[in-house]
Amino acid sequence: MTTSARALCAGLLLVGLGCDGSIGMREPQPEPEQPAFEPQPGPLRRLTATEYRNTVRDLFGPDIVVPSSLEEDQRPDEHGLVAVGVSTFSVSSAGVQKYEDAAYSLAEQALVQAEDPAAFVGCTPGGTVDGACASRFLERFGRRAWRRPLSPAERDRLVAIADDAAERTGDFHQGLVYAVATVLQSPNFVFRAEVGKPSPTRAGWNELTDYELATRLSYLLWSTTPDDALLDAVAAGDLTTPAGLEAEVRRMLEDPKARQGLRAFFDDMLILDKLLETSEIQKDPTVFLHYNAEVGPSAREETLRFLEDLVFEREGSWGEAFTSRRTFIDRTLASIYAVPAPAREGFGAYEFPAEAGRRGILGHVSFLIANSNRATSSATKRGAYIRQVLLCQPIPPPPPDVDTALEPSSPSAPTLRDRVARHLQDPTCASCHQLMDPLGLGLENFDALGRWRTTENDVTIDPSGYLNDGVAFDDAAGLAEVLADSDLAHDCLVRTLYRYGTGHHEVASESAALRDLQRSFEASDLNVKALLLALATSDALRFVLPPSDAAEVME
Amino acid sequence: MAMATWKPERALALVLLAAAGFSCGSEATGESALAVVTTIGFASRNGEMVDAIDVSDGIDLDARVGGDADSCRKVDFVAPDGRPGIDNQFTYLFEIVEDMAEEGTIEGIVQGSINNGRLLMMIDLEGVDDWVNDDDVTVRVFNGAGRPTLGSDGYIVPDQTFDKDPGSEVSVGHGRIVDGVLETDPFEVELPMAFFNVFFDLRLQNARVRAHVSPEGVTDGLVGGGVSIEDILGIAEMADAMQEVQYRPILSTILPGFADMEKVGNACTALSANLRFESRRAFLYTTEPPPSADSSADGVSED
Repeated sequence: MTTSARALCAGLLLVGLGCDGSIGMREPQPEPEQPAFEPQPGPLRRLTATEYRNTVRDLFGPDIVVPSSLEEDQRPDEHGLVAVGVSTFSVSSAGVQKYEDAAYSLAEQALVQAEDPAAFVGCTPGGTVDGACASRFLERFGRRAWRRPLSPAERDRLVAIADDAAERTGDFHQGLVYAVATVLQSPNFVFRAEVGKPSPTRAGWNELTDYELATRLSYLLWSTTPDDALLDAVAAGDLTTPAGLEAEVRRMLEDPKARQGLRAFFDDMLILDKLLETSEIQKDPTVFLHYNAEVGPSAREETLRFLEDLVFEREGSWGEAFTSRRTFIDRTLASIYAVPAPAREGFGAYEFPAEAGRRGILGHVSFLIANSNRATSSATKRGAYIRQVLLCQPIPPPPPDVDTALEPSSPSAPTLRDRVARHLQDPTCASCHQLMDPLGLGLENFDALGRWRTTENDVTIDPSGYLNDGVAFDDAAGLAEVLADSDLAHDCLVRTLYRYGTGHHEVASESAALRDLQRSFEASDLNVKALLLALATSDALRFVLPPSDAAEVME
Repeated sequence: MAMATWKPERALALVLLAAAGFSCGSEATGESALAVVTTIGFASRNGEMVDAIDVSDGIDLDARVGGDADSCRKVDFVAPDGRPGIDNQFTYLFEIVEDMAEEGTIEGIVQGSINNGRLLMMIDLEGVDDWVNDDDVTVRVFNGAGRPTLGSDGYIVPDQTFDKDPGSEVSVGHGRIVDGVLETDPFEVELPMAFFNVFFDLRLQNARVRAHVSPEGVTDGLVGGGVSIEDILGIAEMADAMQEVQYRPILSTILPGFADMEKVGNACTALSANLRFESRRAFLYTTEPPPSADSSADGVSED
């Protein structure tokens, strides 16, 4: 063992998060006494790039060209959620400039470059300055953009900007450009404030205003701004009653935008956005003939279509996300999977034969290509992803000064199992690597591009592995079954959705809310749509602490 | 020969017509695998000699070794792997044309046409019980259609899905696999080819295929047969109509001196020719293709 490898393993031990090897399936045990639920302060969340794009399209129409350069989204850690990152990191000065540029670009497209700006505005100005027309437009536009009605003072200030600019430019619509750009640069648009107001029923807690709640619901379920119907429901007081809230959530789940919302969630959770960055998934062209720039986007689309179908078309169990042989592929992916393409153009449904070893999302190119090296598969990366993303079990990163590269294959170590063996045999390494490598080795029948293989360097691959002691599997299909039956995997989806919806990592005082959601999820036979309904109507989404309070992070 | 028919927009127009030993419509059992040809080019001399005999890749098309009267006294070649009796007189013509054009021009045009989907030759092996030795396999050859994706090596990526060209006939025949090498009985082949800067169907008479196979199908090999002098002159005439250089007068003089097949009276009327190819596994769509307009018009290359 090299010095650097020892240092790596020792470093992993020192970091010491969850590396005792005791993590596994939940054993039946007496229910510990749960502390009562207590919420956390509502974060100030910047719109993610996806939310920004979706929102702008809803405000201006589907033909609007959204500037591609926006403030870059960041994850709080390698496998963390962007939805949490946007409430963690501040906006850079360059990002402020990008928001300004985008605001003017969008406003000019809709009001100057459009063939009929009056259609967008909704009234025909009586002259260069028409305060009444501007006021009506800005009141309507502002309500959608800021997700609440404008106060009279806010409205008047925007109208004054529009009037003044119209006078200076000699053009009514040019004047509105400045007012619309002001709306779009405002923190009221770029950020989602979830402060609430003191709850009349829960002492010390804040209750989100109905508009804040509607915004939470809308970005959770639709990944975009509330529509007029939702804002009207708020105005009518429909969200103040449990029945009214549930009815509205059910309406939202049946709306086509719910698919957009689900895609945004899984894009974030499964880190599928990585597939759009060629540099993140680049493969060695001398090894992988199939790799090209289309592979990443196609792979991302496959997984999103699969999950959309699972949740909304079939309303299947979350377990099927791991075990399903059904998927959606295009010609590019079909050639990687070495199966006939189901459609000449775009994507078509395909079901892998039972004898094929490919199951669920862990058999998708999206997962396999993103968690591999440039030329070789990686049991460690794949295992780490499963632990952290699908089981919500943190694993510390290796120390930055350690060379983590494995030795190249050799006659004495022809397979990856041989090369990672030292991780599992050396006690100092095994403490962490036993959590990753045995899982990842179960997927060794898939190369770094996700192509099926039975040998590596002419040696038959052994794809067996284990989740923990006592939970072993023979191959990728077996691993899929283990995860489908794993309470950890079920709970992890709930936990991740909770983080996504609330914008923060849960703390100990929120464990009761999580437990309730997890029980509800199990009771629904792991129906994701039912989970969305449960979370959206839960106290966890409605209540926050006043901003000054804080709590200990629970892991 | 089908040379008079210009089919520039067609994908590879390869038709295996039933010949001796071939039958249509047989139901094969066992495994099957489809392959698409990814590269094809004329086999030629490699500059070496063995026992004063030129070395050239190819097939013994007439099952005779040497240069007897039926071969119009043309001396056979020896294959790089030592197989004797290789018939490949076309290599002389190919060398002349390559000299007149530029080296690699012909194969470059053909490769470009394969890569853009104009020349898609599909070879389906069926009824394979043993991929190493099987004395009865069914061979289906037809044209594919579709726009292929190229791999990082510049050739058609494996395991792509294509349509069968609706205008293509499927030729069904039999062959055998010996030590992992497919050998077919003689048959007639038409290969769409680019030569003299035009596209045409090159007909190989009494052709044979000799190719390596694996469980993924045909991987690489040779297809050889006789090309009639009349056909070559016809191709040259079409080319001459489009350019200043006139090939036909030259060829009409020299071709009879190379002919070694299809003897009529005292003269051979065809030149033995061999093409080497490589292929990769492919699939066909299981649903009917949408109707599309046939855009065949002329045979002039776009190059």
